[in-house]
Amino acid sequence: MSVRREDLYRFPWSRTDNPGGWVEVTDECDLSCPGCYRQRLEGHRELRRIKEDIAACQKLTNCDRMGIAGGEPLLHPDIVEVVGFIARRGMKPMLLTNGENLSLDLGQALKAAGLAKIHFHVDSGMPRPGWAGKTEGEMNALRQKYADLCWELGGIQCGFNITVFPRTLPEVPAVVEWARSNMSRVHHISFVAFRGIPLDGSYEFYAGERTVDARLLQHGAPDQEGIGLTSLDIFERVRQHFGEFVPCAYLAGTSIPESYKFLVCVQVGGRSGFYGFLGARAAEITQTAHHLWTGRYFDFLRRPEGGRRLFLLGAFDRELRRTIGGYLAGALRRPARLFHPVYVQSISFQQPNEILDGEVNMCDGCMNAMVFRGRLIPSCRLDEYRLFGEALHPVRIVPRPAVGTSGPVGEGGDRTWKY
Amino acid sequence: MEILNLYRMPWTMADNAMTWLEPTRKCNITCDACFARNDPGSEKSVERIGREIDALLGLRRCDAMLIAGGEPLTHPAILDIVAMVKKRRVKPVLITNGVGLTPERALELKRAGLFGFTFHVDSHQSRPGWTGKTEGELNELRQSLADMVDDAGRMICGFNMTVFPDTLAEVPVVVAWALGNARKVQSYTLAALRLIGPDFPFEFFAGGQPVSLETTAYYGSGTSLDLTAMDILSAVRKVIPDFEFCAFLGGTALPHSLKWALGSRILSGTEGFGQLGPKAMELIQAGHHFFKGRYMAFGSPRMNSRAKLLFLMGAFDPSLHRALRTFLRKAFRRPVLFWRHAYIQSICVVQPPDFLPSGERDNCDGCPNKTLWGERLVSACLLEEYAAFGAPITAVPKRSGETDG
Repeated sequence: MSVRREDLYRFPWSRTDNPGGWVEVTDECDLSCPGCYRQRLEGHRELRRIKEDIAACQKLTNCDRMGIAGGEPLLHPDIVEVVGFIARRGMKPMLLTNGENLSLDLGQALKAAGLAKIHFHVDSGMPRPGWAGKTEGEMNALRQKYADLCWELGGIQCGFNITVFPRTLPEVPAVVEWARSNMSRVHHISFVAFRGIPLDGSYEFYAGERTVDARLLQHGAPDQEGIGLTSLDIFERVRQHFGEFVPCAYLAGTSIPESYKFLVCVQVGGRSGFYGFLGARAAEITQTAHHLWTGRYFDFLRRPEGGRRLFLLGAFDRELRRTIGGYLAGALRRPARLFHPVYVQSISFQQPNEILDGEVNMCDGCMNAMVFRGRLIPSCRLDEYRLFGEALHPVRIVPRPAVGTSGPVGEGGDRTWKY
Repeated sequence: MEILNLYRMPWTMADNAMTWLEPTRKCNITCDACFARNDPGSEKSVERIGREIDALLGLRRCDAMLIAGGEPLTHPAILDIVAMVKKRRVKPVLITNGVGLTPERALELKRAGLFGFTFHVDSHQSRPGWTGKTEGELNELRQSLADMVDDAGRMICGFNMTVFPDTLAEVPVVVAWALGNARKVQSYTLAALRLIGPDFPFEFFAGGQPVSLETTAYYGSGTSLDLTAMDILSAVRKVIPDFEFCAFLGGTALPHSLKWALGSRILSGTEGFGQLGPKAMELIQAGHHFFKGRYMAFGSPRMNSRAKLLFLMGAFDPSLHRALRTFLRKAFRRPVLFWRHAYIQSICVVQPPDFLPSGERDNCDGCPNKTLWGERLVSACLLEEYAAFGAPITAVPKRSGETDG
C-alpha cells in the first residue's frame, strides 16, 4: 500500500463532534445522475420542518458547516431563507448543487443571506443538457464557468464533486491539473468512487426480519464490477500522473479500519504556481486549535487565501517546510510572488459504503449525517429509512471468492475484501 | 447535565487510546453476565499472540493495550506477553480478577514491563472465599489488591465493577472506599449490567438465519438492560454530590446516549478539591496526541501524583479554576496541603450496548475495547457473536413475519 497510515492524521471527528451537518430541502431534481442515492418521494419539504431538522442536527453534531442538499436544493422556493437561517445560527451554509439553476442574481441573494460555499456536482456521467458525451477534461469548461461565477460573486468558496467510474478513472488527473491552474478560484475537489447496492443476487437485504426488494432503491448496481473502485485507486492514479501527491489526513471505515473512506490532500499555491502540500502535523494543529478556540472542528475555513499564515506551522510540519522551500525558491525567481496571496486547495478521495456480510462498512466520523424523524442517520442511507423504516441489513447468500487472503490471524473472520 | 456539552473523546476506530488483546478465554472463576465464554482450550501460543499484537497495532493507534480474556494470569506465558506489548512501546495493562496474583507475581509482571492492573471485583463473582459478600465487604479484597500493587511500586491500579440492579445501592460504599485510596487507586470503572434472557422480546438472526443466543455468555435467566449510566451517576453523587463527567463517548445509533463517561477528581488524602472540566480533558488528549502521536489512556503513577500541575489549566477550564480556588482556600487553612501530593482519580461509567425498539443496537461510538477477529477489529463485548455465528447478530422484535416488496 502506497499510503502509510502512520504518516497521516485521523481526523478526530465523531458523530457528536463533527464539522459537518446535512439537511435536505427537497428530493426533486432536474437531472438524474447514475449512482445518486435519492429518489423523489415527497417533493419540496416545508420550511418549518427544514428549520427544525437544521436546529436538531446542529445540536446533535456540533457542526461548523451545514450542507444543504437534495435533490437539487436550488429548486426549493425558500432556499435563500434556509441559507440565512443556517448563517444566523452561526454555521457556514454550504450548497450542494448541480449548478443548472444558479444565476448571478440568485447567487447574490444567497451571498447576502450568508452562503459560505458552493459544491458543484459536475462530472461526465451526468445527463446534463448540452454536455452529454463529454470527457472529464472537456467538462472542465463547465467547471470553469461555475468557478468564475463564484469568483464574480466574491466571498463564496467554490468546490466540485466528481463521481468517479472505472471508465473515467484515467481522466481524473486532468481535473486535478485544471484545479491547480485555478488555485485562487477553486477551493476543493472531491473525487467520490461510484457505489451502488449490489443487485447481482449475491446478497439478500433485510429490514428487521423481512427481506426487502433493494431494487426499490435508486442506486442499485446490476453487477459488482463497477462498484469496486476505492479511494486509493483514484489517489494512485493522481499520484502516478503528478509523481508526488501527499495526503495529510483521513477517515477510516466503521467495519474495516484500514479502508480510507475519506483521504485528504491539501495543496498550497498561488496564482502563478503550485508550491506543495500541507502535512499531517499541520492538519492536526489546525483542527485542534480550531476546536480549542471555537469548540468546533472545521470542514473549511472562511478565508482560503490566508495560506501564508499557515507557513508558521512549518515549525512543526516537515511537509509544510518543503512547501515553504518551494514558495521561497519561486519567489527568488519572481520576487513579485511575495506579494501575491497564497491559497490552499483541498483534494479529497472518497469511498462510500461497502456491503459486507451482515454489515456495511461506512465512514467512521461521517461528516454528512442528517436528522430524520429526530434521529441522526448517514445521509447516504436516507432512502433506506424512508422506504423501509430502517437501515438495511445485508446478508451474503453467495460465497465471496477470497481476494488477497493472507490467512487469518485471530480466531476466524477470513479477510475477503480487497481493502 | 447536558451530555452534548461534555468533551467528546476524540477516540475512533483507527486512532484510539486503547485496544484489547485476549491471550486466552480460559477463566478460573465465573462471573454473572460475563460477555466472554469460558473456554479452557482457548489458550493461544506466544507466536500467535505476537502476530495478533502486530495486527492490532497495524489497525489502530493506541496508548495502552488491555490484556484481558478470560483470565490473562492463567496464561503460562503472561510475562512474555506483557514484555511483547511493552517492546512495541504500548502500555500493557492487565484486566484481571486478581485471583492468581501474588506479591511475587506482581513484581515479576512489573519487571516484564507491566504498566498496571485493572481488577474486576464485584459481588456477582464465584470467587473462592468471597461468595455471598456485599460490595462493602469486598472492599477488603480491593484493599489487599491495591496494597499489593502499591507494594510492587510504580504501576497503576484500577477496579472494574459490574453494577447489577441489586448492587446499585452499594455503589456509594465502593466509591467512598476508592476516595479514601486516592494514592493507590487511579481509576474506577462502573459498568451497567447487560443481560439477555428468554423474556427478551426479540428474535435474533445472523447471516439471515435465526440463531439462539442461549449458547452465548450474555444469555441469562432474565433480561436486565434497564440500568443506565445516569442511574450510576446518581449513586456516585450520594458520595460526591458535585461529581460531574467531563468527557464521554456517545452511541452508534443514539449519538447523545452516554455509553462511556469519565469524571476525574483531584484529591489529597481524602480531601477533594474539584475536578477536571471538558476543556482540561481536551487539552490533555490533544496535547498527548500532538506530542506522542496517540490519545492518552492512562497517566503514569508519577504523573497522577502531580495533579496540582493540572491547576495550570485552570486558565482555560472553569471547573479546574474552581478546583484551584477550593485548593487555595483549604490550603490557607491547612498549609500542609501545599506540600502534600495531590492525586488524580477517575471514575468511568459504562453503559454497554442497548437495543432500540426496532432491534437496532446502540454500541459505543469510538469503542476503546476493540479486539481482533480474524483480521478485523470488533468490539470485545460482541466477539462472542462473531465467533459463534461469523457475523454480528440482528435483533428483530417478536411478531408475525411478513415479506415486503
